[in-house]
Amino acid sequence: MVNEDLALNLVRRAEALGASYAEARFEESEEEGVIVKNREVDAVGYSRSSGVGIRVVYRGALGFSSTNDLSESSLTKMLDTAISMAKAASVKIKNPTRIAQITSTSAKWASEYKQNPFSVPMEEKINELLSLDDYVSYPDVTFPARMFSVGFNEKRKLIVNSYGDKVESDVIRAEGFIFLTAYNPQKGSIQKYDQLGEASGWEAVASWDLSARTKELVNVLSDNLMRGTLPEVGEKDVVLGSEVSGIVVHESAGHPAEADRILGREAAQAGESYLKPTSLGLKIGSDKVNVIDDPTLPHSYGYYLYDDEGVKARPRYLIKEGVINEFLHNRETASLLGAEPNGAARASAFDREPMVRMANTYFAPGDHSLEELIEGVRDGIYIKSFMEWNIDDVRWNERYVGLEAYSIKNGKIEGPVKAPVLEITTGRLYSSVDAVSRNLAFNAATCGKGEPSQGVPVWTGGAEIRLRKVRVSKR
Amino acid sequence: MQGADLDIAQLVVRNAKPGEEIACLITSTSRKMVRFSNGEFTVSQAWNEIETAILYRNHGKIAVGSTLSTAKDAALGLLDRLRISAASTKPKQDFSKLAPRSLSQPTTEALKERVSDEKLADMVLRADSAASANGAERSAVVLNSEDDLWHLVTTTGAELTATSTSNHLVIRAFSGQGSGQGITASSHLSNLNPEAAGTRAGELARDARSPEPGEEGYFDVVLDPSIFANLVDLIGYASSAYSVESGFSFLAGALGKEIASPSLSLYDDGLLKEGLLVRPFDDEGYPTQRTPIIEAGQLKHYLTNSHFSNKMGIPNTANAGWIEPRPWNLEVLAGKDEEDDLFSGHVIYVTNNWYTRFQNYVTGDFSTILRDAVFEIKDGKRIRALKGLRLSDNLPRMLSSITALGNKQYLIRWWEVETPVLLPYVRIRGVHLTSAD
Repeated sequence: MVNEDLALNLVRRAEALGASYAEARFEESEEEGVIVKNREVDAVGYSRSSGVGIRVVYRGALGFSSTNDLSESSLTKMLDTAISMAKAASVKIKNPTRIAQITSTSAKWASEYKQNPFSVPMEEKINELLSLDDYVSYPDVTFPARMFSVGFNEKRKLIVNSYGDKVESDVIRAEGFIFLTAYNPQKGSIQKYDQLGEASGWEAVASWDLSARTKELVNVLSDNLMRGTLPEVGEKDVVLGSEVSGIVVHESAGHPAEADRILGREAAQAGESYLKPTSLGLKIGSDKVNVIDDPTLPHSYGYYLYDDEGVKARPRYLIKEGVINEFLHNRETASLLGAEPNGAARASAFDREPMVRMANTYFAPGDHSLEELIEGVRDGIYIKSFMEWNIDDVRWNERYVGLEAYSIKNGKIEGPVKAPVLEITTGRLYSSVDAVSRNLAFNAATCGKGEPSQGVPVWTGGAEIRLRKVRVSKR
Repeated sequence: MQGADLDIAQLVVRNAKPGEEIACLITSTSRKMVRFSNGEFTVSQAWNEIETAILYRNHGKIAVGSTLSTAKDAALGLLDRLRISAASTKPKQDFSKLAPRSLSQPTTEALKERVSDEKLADMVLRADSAASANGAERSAVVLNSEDDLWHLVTTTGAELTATSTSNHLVIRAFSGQGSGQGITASSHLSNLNPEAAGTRAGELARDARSPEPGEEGYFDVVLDPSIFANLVDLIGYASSAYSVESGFSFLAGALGKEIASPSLSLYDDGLLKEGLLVRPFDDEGYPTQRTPIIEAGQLKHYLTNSHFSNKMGIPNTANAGWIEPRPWNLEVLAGKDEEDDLFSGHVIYVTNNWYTRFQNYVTGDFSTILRDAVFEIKDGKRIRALKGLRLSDNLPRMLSSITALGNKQYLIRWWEVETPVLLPYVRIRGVHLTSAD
């Protein structure tokens, strides 16, 4: 890792050039991965990167520049460019950028792992994946495309700024995916992309039990393909599994709570929000709805203890008993809206500006069992997982198309249902929640936002939830 | 710096041992971006990066990697690491073959323009002003300007260099409940037309300021180039032989078959005259070309690299990607219809979209959100603006239901369109639109 003096020197030089605030973030990263497709290794991949990004506030305008060339001439050019661009932008600034200052921080943290994945021979990783093909079989079903992958990355960062904050971190993540296409000449095809990820070492792969997961996925896809029937269309009770409730809260509670969206800063790209700066206290759902975003969950995919502005992370209670409770902030949006920064600034790499992001967003558990949720349904559908989904850019009009789904009749789960569609507004969805299970499960995802694009690792998840009288349609 | 980059690529390749095949691709990127919203600049950004990417092959064992370090030691360290990784992998049936030195290299024009930061900011302000003058209450703008330099050196003797550029400005204007988007894109920064983009965004927002909830159903629709480009970008991805093999394509088994209306012809072109970041050679050193993907409705080619070309017994279209072939610039040929004629009868006009997701890549079942202005039109006249709609359909069905293509083309690149696409307006019959409960 780069020495602290060099980082501090960059900040001081930016200040000497006239910046009212400067922040330097050095990062080194290492990544390794392998994809096995149809019982053959596609390729193994390996990459390393290192570089620095600097943010400056100059005459109230925000500038960002980065380079992977740490030579004196390159760093000078990077600083000059950040200042020059901010200066050019300062001609049109209504609200001069303010970066909130909080209690000075000096911290060093790291994720925990048992076995460094980079010390495990590639051969062992490949063998783990090649063996999964043995579990891909089902009567009368073929699997023309089978992909399995595992990968690992380590990111080491040093962040310093004009306020004297200094945070060093070292995080190792394990990730992977299974992508299967099942086919029958009479029934057609069905697909599922299953993503895995957590802040752990090689031991994560064992905990995922990929062989059992593959076998389960093969059975689910085949059962739905061969026995599934089209859903009955109409108003029904719907039970959503944690994979679905997780994407629901990520899309329609987490994203709209991002303060940069609320302020219109992402309007040309990822959009805005149905929430306004004045929406704190707004009743959006039933009392059963509680949504939390928590970066500090141990070993979570979105795990961090300090964000990329050096702010200490904590759980954010986005919705409490159906009421909008808190937004996600970085130092800039917190200043604008008179709030405290709550550690939501993330950058996907050294060459990306920190922006307001989720970490691990989940529907908080209630007091039912899954069986009780099902028992309370006379005519409905249980949507356990999904494939297609989307939501409009203010996060109000959303759609989830079931993958593993079953009809519910008189409190009992019956046969599989093909691609039931839940197309609903955020307000209607949250208002229709009448019961929540006490279970808590998570799924890995890569959250996209920003221009240039910044994919960051997150967990989505939570409890199973029951919706009363919502419209179900078919594709 | 250019000489130093080439030295690194040459050094990596010189370190090949007997039996090893190596390609080293160095990409030097210089990029600036200015962002603006609600009447002020929000952030100005700049990047200067050099990436060294290496393909390592040794008797069917393949490893690929990259480093963002600029040091020679780092490049050689990466090569050693790839040797170790490849040694521990299982050999695959490797059909790839790097281009021999003898292949000629088309040249690209050096387009790099020196433009001040003040000039970039001024272009953004001009777009915003034009939007305001045409009905926008507020707008958000992003301007991207990028120069790339590539060096490719291979153990088969190829030593190639090219430069290229990409510039695009996107403005999204808001008025009441309405919004509209305008795009201007060009390889020449001086050819961008911020006023035209701003005017269009402002007018669309103004005309859509009081939308009514749209009804579900099946409609004839006219897709603006912005949304059509998103779908064509997805077709380009689906035409990659890698996508076909992996289950990410609705085009598997369809070579030579009718997959679209006879009016549709789609090409990939590495040297498209109007293109962005044009590439004269692919990552294996083959000269890029103009490849018909769909011609008069018939699927003509998958996009390939040498591996998929030889494995599938089909032509090498020079779209490497060492592992995954990819399109360079896509072009849908203009049709014969005057644009006004596309709006005859009863039609829904969709100006933009976002968040496209598939239920099944093989069947092409997907949906996408209709974003910004949507209009119901009767006999060329806008009856009302609509809101709350989603396009929920099947991509091959839509391609087969194209009834008209406009006679002008537009270059589109923005957040939802990764590959630059040159294309016209399109009219499609019986498109399924849905709305939320």
